[in-house]
Amino acid sequence: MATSHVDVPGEPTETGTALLETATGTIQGFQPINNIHQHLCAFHFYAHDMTRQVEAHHFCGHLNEDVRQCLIYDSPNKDARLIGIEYIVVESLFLTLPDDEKPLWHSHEFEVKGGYLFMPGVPGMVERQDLKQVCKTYGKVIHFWQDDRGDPLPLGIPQIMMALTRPGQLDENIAKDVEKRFGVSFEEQREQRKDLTGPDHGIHPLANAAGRGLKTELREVDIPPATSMPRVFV
Amino acid sequence: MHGIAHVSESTDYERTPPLTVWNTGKDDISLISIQKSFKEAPRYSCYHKKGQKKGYKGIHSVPYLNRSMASSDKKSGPTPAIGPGSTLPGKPTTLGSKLIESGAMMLQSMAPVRQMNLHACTFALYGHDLSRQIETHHFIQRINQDFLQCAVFDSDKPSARLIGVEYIVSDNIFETLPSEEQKLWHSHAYEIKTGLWTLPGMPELLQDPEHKSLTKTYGKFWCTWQVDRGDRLPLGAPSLMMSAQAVDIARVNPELVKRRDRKYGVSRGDAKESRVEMAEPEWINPNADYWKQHGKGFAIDVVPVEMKSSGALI
Repeated sequence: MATSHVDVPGEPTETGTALLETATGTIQGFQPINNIHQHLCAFHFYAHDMTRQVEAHHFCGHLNEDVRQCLIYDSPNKDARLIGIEYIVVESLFLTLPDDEKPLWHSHEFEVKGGYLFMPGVPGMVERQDLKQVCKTYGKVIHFWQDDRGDPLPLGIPQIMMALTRPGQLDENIAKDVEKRFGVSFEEQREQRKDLTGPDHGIHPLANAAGRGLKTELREVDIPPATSMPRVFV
Repeated sequence: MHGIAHVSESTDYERTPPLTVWNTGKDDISLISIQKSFKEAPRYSCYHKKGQKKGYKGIHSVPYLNRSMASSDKKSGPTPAIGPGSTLPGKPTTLGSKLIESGAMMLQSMAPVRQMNLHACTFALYGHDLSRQIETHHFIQRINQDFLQCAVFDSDKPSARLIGVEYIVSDNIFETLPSEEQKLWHSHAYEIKTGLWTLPGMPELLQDPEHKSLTKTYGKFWCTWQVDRGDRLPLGAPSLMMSAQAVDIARVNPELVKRRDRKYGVSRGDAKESRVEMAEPEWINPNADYWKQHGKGFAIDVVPVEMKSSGALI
């Protein structure tokens, strides 16, 4: 659960370091981060293991109307860990993906219509304006930190994640816990989102890992030798 | 409503195999029929606009994931998702979306992302092909004296694409990691001491204390969007990235550095000189920068497997 996690090992930040970083925080530019305007909460599970489910807090920005990019944290708090990334694209762009890329993406229709994806703190009417669009999109999620298994550090290789696509998938305890902490009711939301529609052409059969599981594996590769082009080295 | 054939943006893509199409009116059914039969190659029909067939009669099977989804391989064939200059496809953000975002901004706390208070510009190399090098912009949050987490972008403009995540640990933490884990990390001493790594907008002197502590750190950087190879959208498995080192094949192309220096009005050479007195780590763990000792990098493959479920529903 995101309410408590194993501490990241290490010494507390030294005063000098903290001061310097406060300075950099005010002097430097953070435009890409300032482009992040929205907080969405949803649930992901590992693409090879549906029983491992994670509460995922997305902080999203629009690259344009059709493409969003999100940083995923394990909580909405100051001490949240950066655990993953999600990209969200509209249906027309999803269709341009190669067929062997599509399984890595998941549809959003069920989790939006089911009420499981929500914008904490935003009134339903405003929320639904955006969810109307999100309902028709596809997402690609990769997690780097498996804190659901208690990892104090981001160990191992990246994990492809999937989203809810059918009733009965989401663990009840996780659902109830989130409902309580954020003061939402998924069932109520479901009622209010009845008129939302999914992708115009239906959920693509290759999305959501084409109904299978997906696992990432690490492989050693030979490093290509240095090029024969002479280079000037600094 | 029948499905329609995939619409390509240009005739260059006519040579791609016909992309699968699907029944539009019955979303759930199309998904169910695939899931029930995932043990064998599922089949479903291919429609054309003239509406020749209804229902599911097999023509095409679902293509299995193959090596082209490995982070190390070239793209899998012509597709609108890859293009010259890797320009982002899609329409400009509408006023409606901007309004929703403003509303959200006022009502929501963006606490986690507000914690990033350090911007570093440096270079990274693809772990499976060190000749592929990119300029990166790290937006960094320090969790404690020994650990930092970074959102990595391909520029520092509002249009910057999020291309990955890097985690940075002190040497103390690094030594506690199992050796299999250590192989995925890279050292930072060389790139900092030789001025590749810089904090844009900060005078060199002020950068000093930060660099002193970062010189002894190790990083683990996964890249999720290979913009340098023309990907207009994030394709494939994540790539493990490595850092520049004092070895021929891992030195950053001087043109890349010059371009960056010009952009920010900095000089890598000057930075290198001013950091020459900076203490180097006495020892860099040989498991880091794994390719140096072993001539091998790492790639990630995505492979189909049986989904583990509680048994209730797939």
